[in-house]
Amino acid sequence: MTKPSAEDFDKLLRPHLGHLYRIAYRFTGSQADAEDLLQDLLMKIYQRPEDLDGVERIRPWLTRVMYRMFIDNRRRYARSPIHLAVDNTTEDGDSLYDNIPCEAPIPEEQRSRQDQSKILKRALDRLSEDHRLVVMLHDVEGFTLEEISTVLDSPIGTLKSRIHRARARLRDLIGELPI
Amino acid sequence: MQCEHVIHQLDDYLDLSLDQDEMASIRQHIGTCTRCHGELEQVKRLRSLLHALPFTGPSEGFFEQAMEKARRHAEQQKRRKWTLVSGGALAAGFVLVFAVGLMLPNGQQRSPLAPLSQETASQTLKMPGISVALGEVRNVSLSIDSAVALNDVVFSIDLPSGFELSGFPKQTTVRWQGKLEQGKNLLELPIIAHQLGGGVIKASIEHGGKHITYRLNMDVGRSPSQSESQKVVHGV
Repeated sequence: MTKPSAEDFDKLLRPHLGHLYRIAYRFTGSQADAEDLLQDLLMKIYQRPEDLDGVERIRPWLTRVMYRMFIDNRRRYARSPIHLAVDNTTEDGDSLYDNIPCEAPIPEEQRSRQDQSKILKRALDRLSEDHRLVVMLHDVEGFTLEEISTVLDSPIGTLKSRIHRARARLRDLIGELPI
Repeated sequence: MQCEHVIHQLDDYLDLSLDQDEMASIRQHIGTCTRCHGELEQVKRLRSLLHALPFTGPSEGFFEQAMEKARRHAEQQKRRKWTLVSGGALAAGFVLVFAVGLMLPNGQQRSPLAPLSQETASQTLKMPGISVALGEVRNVSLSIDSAVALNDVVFSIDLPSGFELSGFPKQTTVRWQGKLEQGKNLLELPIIAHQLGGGVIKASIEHGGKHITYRLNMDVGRSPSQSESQKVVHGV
């Protein structure tokens, strides 16, 4: 395969950026961390474009590389003696643990849905990494188990059991959430 | 059909990824089993909530900026790599061991310029003084470790007055083109001093517009036998 020009390489990657960012956001849970993860992925790929030689399906391959980078980052973070303090505020600036009254009344249904989302997000954050990722990919982003198997490099049978356990754990964590 | 089996298949059932018979069996079971029907409804409702989980897109212009940054980074890395290979890093890649040598037996002469090793940077390195005996051949060896093989390397030796390289009589500069192998290269300089005192020999290696120069301080004295005979003479 001839080496693609910079322009060709851009064209090759561009259609997948939205997808990759979305997955990065689901992995990391924040815009800033998702952008960092995707940036790191692009740095890696641009530096070694030859790695794409022979890759038939680029999107799953890129997703898998990004997943591995995410896991490596998490492991490094876990080993690091210094951690940043946990920020419990959402990207909208409100804390999950605060109950700040809103000036404009929020329709009950919308409020209920917002509350459900917050509770759900907190429950997801408390899942183990394996469980959280499989739920994010399967139930949030709609990946099939076969696709997840490619990304996470896990057998479908294992993933099937994992998603069942993850949902059961999620329901336990959600507790009173009316679902 | 066992409930546990059905519950285990609910994902595939909702994904429509089971064969027709299996789909029909599960559909039928769910239609009659309250437990499995409830489980299916829970899975569906949870999925619905998860699907609606809030999502924040990237900041404006992020994709373009990220690709541009990645491109620039890759180009910088490429340039850095080239520099390492082509000579700027001669400094880094150029681990200079240098040294020695007591001369070869009997003042054996060799081709003065049989490079065994490699690389360089634009800098000058001073070597400690090397003692040679008047009129005797002494091989001074420069050992150079190179990270990569290099072709078209220019070697040059500049000799001060009173010195010459064995095999190159009366030449104050000896210059040739050669290559450096990856790993350790040895450049042997068979030096002869024709007058007492000292001087600085400069050994330069150039590649890709970069160069490194070794300055070898030479001290010329008499050999013990020469000293002895001198003493004898003086004693007389």
